[in-house]
Amino acid sequence: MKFKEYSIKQIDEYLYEIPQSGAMLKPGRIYANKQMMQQLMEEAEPLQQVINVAHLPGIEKYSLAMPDIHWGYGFPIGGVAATDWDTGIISPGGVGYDINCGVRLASTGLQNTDVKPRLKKLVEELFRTIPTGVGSSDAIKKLNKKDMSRLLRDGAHWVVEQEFGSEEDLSFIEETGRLNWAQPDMVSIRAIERGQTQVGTLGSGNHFLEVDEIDRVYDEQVAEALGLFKGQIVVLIHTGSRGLGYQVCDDYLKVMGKAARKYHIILPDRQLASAPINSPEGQNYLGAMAAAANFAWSNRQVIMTLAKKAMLRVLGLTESELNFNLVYDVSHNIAKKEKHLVDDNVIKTVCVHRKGATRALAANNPALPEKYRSIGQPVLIPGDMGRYSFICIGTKRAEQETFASTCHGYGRLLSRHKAKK
Amino acid sequence: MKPYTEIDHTADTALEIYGNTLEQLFKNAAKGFYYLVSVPDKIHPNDYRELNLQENSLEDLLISFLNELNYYLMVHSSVFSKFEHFYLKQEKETWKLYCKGKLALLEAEAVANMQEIKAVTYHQIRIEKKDQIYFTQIIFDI
Repeated sequence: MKFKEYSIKQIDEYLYEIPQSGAMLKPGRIYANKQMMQQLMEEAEPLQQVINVAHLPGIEKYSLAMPDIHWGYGFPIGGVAATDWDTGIISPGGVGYDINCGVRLASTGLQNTDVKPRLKKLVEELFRTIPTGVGSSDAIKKLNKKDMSRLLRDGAHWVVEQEFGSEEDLSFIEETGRLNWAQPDMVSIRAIERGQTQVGTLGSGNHFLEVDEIDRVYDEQVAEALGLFKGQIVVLIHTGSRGLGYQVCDDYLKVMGKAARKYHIILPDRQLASAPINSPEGQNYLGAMAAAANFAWSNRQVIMTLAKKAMLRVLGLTESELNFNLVYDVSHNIAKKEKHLVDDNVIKTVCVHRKGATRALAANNPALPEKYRSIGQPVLIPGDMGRYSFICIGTKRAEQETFASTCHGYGRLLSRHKAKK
Repeated sequence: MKPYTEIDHTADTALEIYGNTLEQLFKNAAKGFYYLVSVPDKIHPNDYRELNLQENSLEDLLISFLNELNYYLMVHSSVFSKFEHFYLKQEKETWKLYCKGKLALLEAEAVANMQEIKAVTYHQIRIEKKDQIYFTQIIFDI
């Protein structure tokens, strides 16, 4: 198979490789079937982006693309790349504008028949309680600068202290809802302004809150461990760091553009602009990115709490009758410091960029809450709005092949115009 | 000459923008941005605002200008109805923009019905001139 001047070889039924060539530092690997690969070759841009990412200084093993790969900015959406923490770079293009966009799943003790008679009122109440749309704001009181600083530093931990949810929730959030290397001072005043009124808001685009029913259980043992059963009503939330995160990304794309010139980092796409992780620019971005990630976890924690309160009000239930519990919260736009097996079977500390990709840890990983250690990490993969979504479990294979990463579920085949036709 | 054309894009939205002069290109980019976010037809300017921006390239300046419009919309629920002064100038390696325009505050209900733009991206942006017309393509992350 040929893509421009690059050859593509098939590794197995669902894995293709673009061997290292030219200025690529590592090969590219794409998880896709034959039909998807043909489509990707016609589209061209996503594959070119996989190749571009392979140029990043310090990249380990492969430039990876998950099965929902599509055209992004810098990295493709569905792109994963790990760079050496000591000698490699960090790139905002490998995280995305919506820092820590992610998904959260909460379960209830209810079935369809408990909710259906009041579904219309419930949806109206959810719309009333949780702002959506352009500039959506004011779900909770506007935060002053001191509170914003605490929120950016402590993430979900701080909003739990403000009585949005409980301490128990924190164990079921990736990183317990807080990256402890956040630096609120590295977030611009403009980003703070954009975020101050947006905690507890969904935003727009493909963000959503869904009331779902568990339609099918493929593994009863895993479902039981997750507290899930067929016919159960659950709530799925997809949103991120709102205007604060978008502004942080924009601010640091400018910083990184200058840094790339300063450190003589030549890259094929300016949206891959980057700096050495251990440079002031790299550290400042990491600090700001972590703060924005903490904002997003806070946001989803508040939205979940508001949704729970709306359900209690409309359905006229007690807390124990509703039995509302956080199942898990995952990020799919983030850069994290992790230890992974790289080439030559060496374990190395790397910066894993996941852009439209979800962490997927296998069983026995100490980063998992005790309750899930025997089964692995829940991986939440939403489908099209109003259609099926999936709850999967992380595997050893992901840890071995993709820096414990998998897809995030938002592949787009058609533009909005083509879809409407 | 039409000021802009919407271009099909798989994941987000894009515009091709035109202008007889660079200033017109920038002003048409603003028109295109406001078209994408669906600014209501009837707006009531009640204030003036000046923008002073500078960047190392014309393309970066255009992105900064559009991001500034997005900031006023997202944080202040305001849009520029008309630019009364609009100047672009190159000084050595720096491009500078000065403009002064009428600002209109939008009703909350109008803002709620608009389309949110997360960011104006740098993806493959290039300002070019062909047959005496300036043009550029911008992709907006929604």
